Amino acid sequence: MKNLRMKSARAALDMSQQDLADKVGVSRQTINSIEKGDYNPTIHLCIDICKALGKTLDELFWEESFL
Amino acid sequence: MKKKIILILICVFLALIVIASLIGFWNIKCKDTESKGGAFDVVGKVTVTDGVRDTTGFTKEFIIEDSGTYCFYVEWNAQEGLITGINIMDETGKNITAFTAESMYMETFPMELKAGTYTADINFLTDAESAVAFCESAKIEQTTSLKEYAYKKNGTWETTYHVSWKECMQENVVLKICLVGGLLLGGLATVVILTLTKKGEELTGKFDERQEIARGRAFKYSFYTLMGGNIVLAVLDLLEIQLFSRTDVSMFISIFIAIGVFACTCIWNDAYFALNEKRGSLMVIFALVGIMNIVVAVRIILSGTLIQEGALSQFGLNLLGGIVFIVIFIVMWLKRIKERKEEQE
Repeated sequence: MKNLRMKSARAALDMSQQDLADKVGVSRQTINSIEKGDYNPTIHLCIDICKALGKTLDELFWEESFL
Repeated sequence: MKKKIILILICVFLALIVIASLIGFWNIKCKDTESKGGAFDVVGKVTVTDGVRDTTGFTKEFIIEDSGTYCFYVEWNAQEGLITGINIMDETGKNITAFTAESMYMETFPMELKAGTYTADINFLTDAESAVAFCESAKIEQTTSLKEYAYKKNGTWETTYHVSWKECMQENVVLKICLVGGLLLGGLATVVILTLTKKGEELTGKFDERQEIARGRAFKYSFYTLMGGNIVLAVLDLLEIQLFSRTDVSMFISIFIAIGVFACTCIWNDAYFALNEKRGSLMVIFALVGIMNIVVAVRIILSGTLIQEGALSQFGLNLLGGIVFIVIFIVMWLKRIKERKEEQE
């Protein structure tokens, strides 16, 4: 399932996928895979992404139907 | 940067030691003064009239004083129109080695010889029939060139034949030393290249969690490919089915394919290049290594040593290695094109 919330949070900060990847310490393709829904990151990577984008886990990664 | 420079300098220093050792070893191997051996020169004369020779040839006995591993060196330079066949036999009449040529300069492979008296049977081959008869007696392959050679029907030839023998190391020992030296140099070159293609001070590649998972999958596919290849080779061997290549070469084919599967799977899943790796440099290196191996392979093909005794010889490994590196480079290139399209979208 695509993670559009993560994509829009990144875009709101005017960050490219590479910028976010460098900040978090992963490859650009990993960020791309997460946004496209092709890869489920571990909790540690989720937390790092949330810190980089200034969002909470619920805001970026919790299923929308539960919000 | 300091760590990298020190590592590169160490590798270069070790490589120079290995090269110097190989050169030193080669000089010792070829040193004449301390090697056992001997030589003789004989002059042979034959007159051919209307295709009939006045003599079939002659023999020359020589003594090898000590048992050991020797290489023979034969040399003669005759005018065209006559082929000379030289057959070297031991005391029991067993053929040791044989040569046929108009003119020759040749060194044989090392062979084990016992001390004793040997005979060089020198034959003047003036037509296809005598050439075929010589090949049968010397138990060597009858080549088309011997039958189709333009033998002269009339003429006189006076030729000096030089035959010498010198002790040398066994071929397999030389091969082992060169193999170890080559592997060492290859290993050192790999360390230098890997160091130069890394960003920052880190000398090992760093992969993120997704890349580690993808690499694990690639290793699995590569393992199954290698196992499958080995099983096929084992079954073919059990069924005594003749392979298109020697067994050791076939196993290397299996290894090359497994490496190719691993690399291509990783590349397509964005898990081949580490986070701290210079992608462009690696691509260039892969292309260069592939091209170099292909160039060597072309030389091998032109020299006619690619196929030996109807099977692909060990010299075919350069061709295989070159193909694998070029295929990996192509996959890298295609992936790069795909990524650029995705970025534009």
